[in-house]
Amino acid sequence: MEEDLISKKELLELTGISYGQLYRWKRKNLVPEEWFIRKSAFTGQETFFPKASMLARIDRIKNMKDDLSLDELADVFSIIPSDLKMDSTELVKRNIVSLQTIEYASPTFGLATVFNFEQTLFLYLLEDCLQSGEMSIDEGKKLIQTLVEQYAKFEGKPCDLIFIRKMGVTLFLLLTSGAEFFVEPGVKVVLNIPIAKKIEELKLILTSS
Amino acid sequence: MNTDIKRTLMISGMGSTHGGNFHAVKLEGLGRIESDITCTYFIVNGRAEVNGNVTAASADIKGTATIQGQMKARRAQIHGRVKIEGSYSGEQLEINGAITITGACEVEKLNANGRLHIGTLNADAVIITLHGHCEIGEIGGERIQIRRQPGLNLSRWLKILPVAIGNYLNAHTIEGDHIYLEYTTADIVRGADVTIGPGCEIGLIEYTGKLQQDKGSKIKHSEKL
Repeated sequence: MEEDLISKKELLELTGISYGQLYRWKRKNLVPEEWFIRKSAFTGQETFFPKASMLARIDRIKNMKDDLSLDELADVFSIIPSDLKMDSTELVKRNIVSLQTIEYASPTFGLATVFNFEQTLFLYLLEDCLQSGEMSIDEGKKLIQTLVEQYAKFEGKPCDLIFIRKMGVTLFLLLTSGAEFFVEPGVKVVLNIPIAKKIEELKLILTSS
Repeated sequence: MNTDIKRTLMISGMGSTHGGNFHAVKLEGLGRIESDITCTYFIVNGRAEVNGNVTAASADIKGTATIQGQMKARRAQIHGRVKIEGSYSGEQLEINGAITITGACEVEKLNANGRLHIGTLNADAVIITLHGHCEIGEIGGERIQIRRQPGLNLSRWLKILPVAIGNYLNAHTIEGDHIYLEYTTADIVRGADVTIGPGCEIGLIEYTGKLQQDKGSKIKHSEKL
């Protein structure tokens, strides 16, 4: 999973931000520590960044900086769940999750009407998977079960959701972000969703409206 | 941080205890804490040893302290010698004396007067007055100012000795928007406005704005971007 890297110097030139800004963002956790990749170059150790994600992140920070303070921004980008609670009608009204999805998930969640951030995230993921057309409703129910039972074990560390299928048999995997995995022949990786990115998306929706 | 807890931990004389949640922690004399400690005020007068992490709203250390884990304090004042095996993060850090931070030091404002050994330093404003041999792997920030205490200069008298004695800083990389350096040895300096004072030895300078340099300093290479 070798990603395109960009050196710090190039990055600052390209985006027009200053050293001070970059370091301030780093301190405020707007840019995750894992993105600062140390590599040796001819001038000694240099810092590199994953190009695509870093450019997207800087673009986003620049666009949102006027409306939100740096601390609020950090909250948007952090993958630690915010302490938000929302009821089902609100979720449907805001177009985050459809009513059907909530109904599909209700056997696992019980008849909860108020969802915390984590539950909202699970619903959001389910909605996304169902909308992609790659997952059946029954599989979706399994997905919710897997998330409810296993997700907390990551303790806020970024993870990926992998959905694989072989000859009609399906499996869900939750993996630490960036971990490589290899499958036997005939196995199709249907979905590979970085959950950290979904959290960011969801937080953006929640804060923007 | 839970500030409802009004417990106070106080050691006067010699003693050791386990950590926990406190309002104020006051160690006078010789104190040792065996695990993580969280408190509002962390005060040391004398010698302290913490075998864990320290989280405090404000820290005031006079004397010697060794912290085996990492330290988080919004404001910290250090008079004396402190060694932190992990990293330090906070807003304001004031140092008079010697400090060793093995990991990263991330603060908004650093004002140091003394001898520093830091892995990486990242702060908005860095003001360092050098006393003795300082070593910082990497410095990044907006305003960086490194000066030597004017006046008494022992190194001129001690030059006959083969060992390196004197007030100077060794760094690998220094990156910031406004940089002023004195008596600094660095491989790379990058910034917008860079001023190189006396006694520096720099491998490469990359700047986007202005570069001023003292005649007595050695600069191998400088490049305007």
